[in-house]
Amino acid sequence: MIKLKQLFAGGLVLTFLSSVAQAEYGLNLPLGVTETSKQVYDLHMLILWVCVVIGVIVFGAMIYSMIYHRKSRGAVASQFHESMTAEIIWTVIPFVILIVMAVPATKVLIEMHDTSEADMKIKVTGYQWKWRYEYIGEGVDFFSTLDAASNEARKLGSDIDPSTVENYLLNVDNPLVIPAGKKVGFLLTASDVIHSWWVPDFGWKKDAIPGFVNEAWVKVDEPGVYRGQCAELCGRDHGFMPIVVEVKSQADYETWLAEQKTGVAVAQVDVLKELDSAELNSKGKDIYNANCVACHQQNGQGVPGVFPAITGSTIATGDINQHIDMIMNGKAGTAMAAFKEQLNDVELAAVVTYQRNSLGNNVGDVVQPTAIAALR
Amino acid sequence: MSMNEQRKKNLITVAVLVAVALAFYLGSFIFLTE
Amino acid sequence: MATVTDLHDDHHDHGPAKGLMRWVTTTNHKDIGTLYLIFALVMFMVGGAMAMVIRLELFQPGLQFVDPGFFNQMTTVHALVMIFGGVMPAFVGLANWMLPIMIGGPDMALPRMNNWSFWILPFAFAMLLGTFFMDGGAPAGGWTLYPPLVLQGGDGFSFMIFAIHMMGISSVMGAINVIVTILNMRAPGMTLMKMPLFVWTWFITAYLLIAVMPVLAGAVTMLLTDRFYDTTFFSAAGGGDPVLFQHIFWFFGHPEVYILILPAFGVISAIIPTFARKPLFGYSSMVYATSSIAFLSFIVWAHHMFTVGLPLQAELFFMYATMLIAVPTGVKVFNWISTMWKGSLTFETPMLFAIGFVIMFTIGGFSGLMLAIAPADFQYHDTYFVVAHFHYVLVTGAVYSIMASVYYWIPKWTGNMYSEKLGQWHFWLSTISVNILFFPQHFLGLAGMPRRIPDYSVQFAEFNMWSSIGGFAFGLSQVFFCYIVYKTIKGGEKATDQVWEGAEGLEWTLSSPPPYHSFSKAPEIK
Repeated sequence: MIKLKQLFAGGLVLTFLSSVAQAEYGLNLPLGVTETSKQVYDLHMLILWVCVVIGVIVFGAMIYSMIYHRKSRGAVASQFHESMTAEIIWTVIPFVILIVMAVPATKVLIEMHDTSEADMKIKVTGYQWKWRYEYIGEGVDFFSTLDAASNEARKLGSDIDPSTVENYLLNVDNPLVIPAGKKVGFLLTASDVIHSWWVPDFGWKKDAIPGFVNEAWVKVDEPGVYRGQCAELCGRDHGFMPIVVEVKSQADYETWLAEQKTGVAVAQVDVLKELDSAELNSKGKDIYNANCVACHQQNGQGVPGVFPAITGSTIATGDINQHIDMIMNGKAGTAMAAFKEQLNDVELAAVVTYQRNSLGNNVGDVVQPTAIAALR
Repeated sequence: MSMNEQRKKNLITVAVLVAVALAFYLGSFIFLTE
Repeated sequence: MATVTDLHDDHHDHGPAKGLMRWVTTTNHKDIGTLYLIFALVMFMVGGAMAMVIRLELFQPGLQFVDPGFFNQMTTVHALVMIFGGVMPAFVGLANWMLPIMIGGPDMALPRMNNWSFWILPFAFAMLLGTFFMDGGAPAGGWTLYPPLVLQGGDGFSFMIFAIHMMGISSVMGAINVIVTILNMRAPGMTLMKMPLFVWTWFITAYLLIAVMPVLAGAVTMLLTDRFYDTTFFSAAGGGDPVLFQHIFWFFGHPEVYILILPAFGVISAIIPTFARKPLFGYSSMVYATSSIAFLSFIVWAHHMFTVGLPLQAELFFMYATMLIAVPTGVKVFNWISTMWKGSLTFETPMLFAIGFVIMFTIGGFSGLMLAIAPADFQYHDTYFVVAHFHYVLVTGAVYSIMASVYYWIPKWTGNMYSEKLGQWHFWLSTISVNILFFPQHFLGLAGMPRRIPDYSVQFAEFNMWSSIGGFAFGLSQVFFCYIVYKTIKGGEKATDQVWEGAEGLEWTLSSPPPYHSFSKAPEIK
């Protein structure tokens, strides 16, 4: 009775493990799209099979013993209880197996560490809770946040079915774009707490640590879209700051890059304009919903004891420079981030105006982008 | 040995082990930080 | 070094004090062992309830029940409670009950300190659990407490640090007690190499505790001063480094996981020979293997940090050292199987849990070996693959050994046999549900699901659902276990002194239950 159950359980495990070999089933590590990811996949399969073989032998011996050495079968206990030979054999053989595994592992690790001779470099900065990508030397610099559809659906009690949202929790507004066939170097850091940048198809992840810079690299030959997530607990929305990388052909990449640069020029012109109250409040509402709602909530009430309310807050209804300072520079030691790098002058002016005139507040003043620029 | 001797022996062992624990505590500040 | 004399003039053969004060003031190792075990059982239920909240939210994609911030509090406190309130006190409870008896001593060496070691714990956990009601809620930065994130916590942060300090002091005092007892209180003739393996594994565990709990204390003290006293141990702006915390924490953290498993190895080494009716195979090998594991555990810590950006040479060293621990661990598994081999096996509940331990702990060991391979770990790190690994070694490993030990020794402790039929039900319900709970998590991690997230992308839905179903069933099975324990304490078929046909060791020479003071006069050791 007992042995049948155990044989059944053993059979189930083996079935699982054999189907594990099919990478596409969603049971196994992905093969990925880089040389590195394929090497890592091979290492993974090597150790997995070594473990399966050892498991079959070891569990097989146990199952045999449980069937044939049971008292109810009439087995009488031997009394042998030591063997130097056995101890030596089952120390040496595993040791040799380990060496067999350590050799290819060492080789792959050395190659992964070689970040030299990159064709371009991108600085990746982790924020609570989004990523920032700066193309070194190109003047292109933007934030990449969870896309709006996912952001709506994921709210507590949203009643939106996640399966109706495309690439739910794995989609962003501004993906990272890189050229195929080039070695792209990454400089990873963070602005507040430790994050980790991970795209499974690339074959690695690396921590983004505030005040320090980590290096990594990738070379993807096949154009496509690859998705990943933050992989180090970084607070409330750790599960909601995904990564999307679009790998384009060299030509398409250059087109995209040119477009980005034009976009930057346009934005710089914008900040010199004067905006009226309606424009500021309307834009401010959009900025608020994209950046502030996570903590301060839709109605500005915050979460008591955790995130302060904006409604009736002494800062949002008090001295306007203090209010601007709080948003631009954040509050050290708390989750209130500094938004001066994340939002431009127009956006900052708008959101400050909105907070002072909505969410239950009614201060009546406005802030112009030029005022923000003066404070930088 | 008598109860007092046993007790003394025990307390000496305790003192040694407390010293070890303290050494690790202070050591974590001195040797594990830069 | 081991001598004990007549500590009692038998003229005042008193029983224990009466009422509640008995439990508050007791210095008796059996009473204190019972206090620890009951405390641990309650904490398992508390930690288990948090796990149920986690699995409930993860049952389906989308956020249905809890705020993500509260979810993080659940994962953080679930781990702290299970590790520091569940597994560790349970093993200390077993040590208190069994060590003096197994070495033929009258009690622990420092009975009053023993009482303090226990009573610190309810206060420490009241503080920790009290943080749920404070401004900012309970700690939510993971049980690993990484800065800078952990420094963003509310008022609960300070109380958590205080609670950890208290738990550490309790553990260190307990460990000192264990070592002094084993070194100084053995009956004449009980040489070190004659001690049961459970005594050996606790002896070694106690040294690990004394070495590393103070290091954890150092680490959390640095967190405290960084937050309140303007130090910058972990802040780059002040010349410090967040990764420094990780080095200090894991220097504690890795030996800590061996602290969580070595006593388990001792329990299994007691149970298998009994139900195989055959002596433990390779006793001295087992002692050396345990010592090797303990020594190696100090030099592998950075395998928890492979993705922080360590230099190549460091990653290679820690990879090799970590892979090496597989060797003595394997030796132990082979010795257990050799103990079973050509024995005369019966499968009462303690043996079921012990065999379940050997099989499923080994599965956890396999995923551990995979994690040791640094380049592969870059894919596994901070995913559900790691969650699967440590739950296999901690739940089907440490917790199974604790349940095995309860079934094994409760007839001795209470004088009542547990119901074998109920025990078998508990084992099978637990084993089937625990595998449904944790095995799919290997696949989730490989497929790309990170840890510590309350909501996930739709392709992870099916395995999460299975995992949650397994979780609810496993949780219910443990409530059943509480009932079995309660029922046994209340009454049952009377147990003999020997209890188990193949059992060897001093505990089986005492009555079931044993007298309040056993071995006031040292027993004869053959």
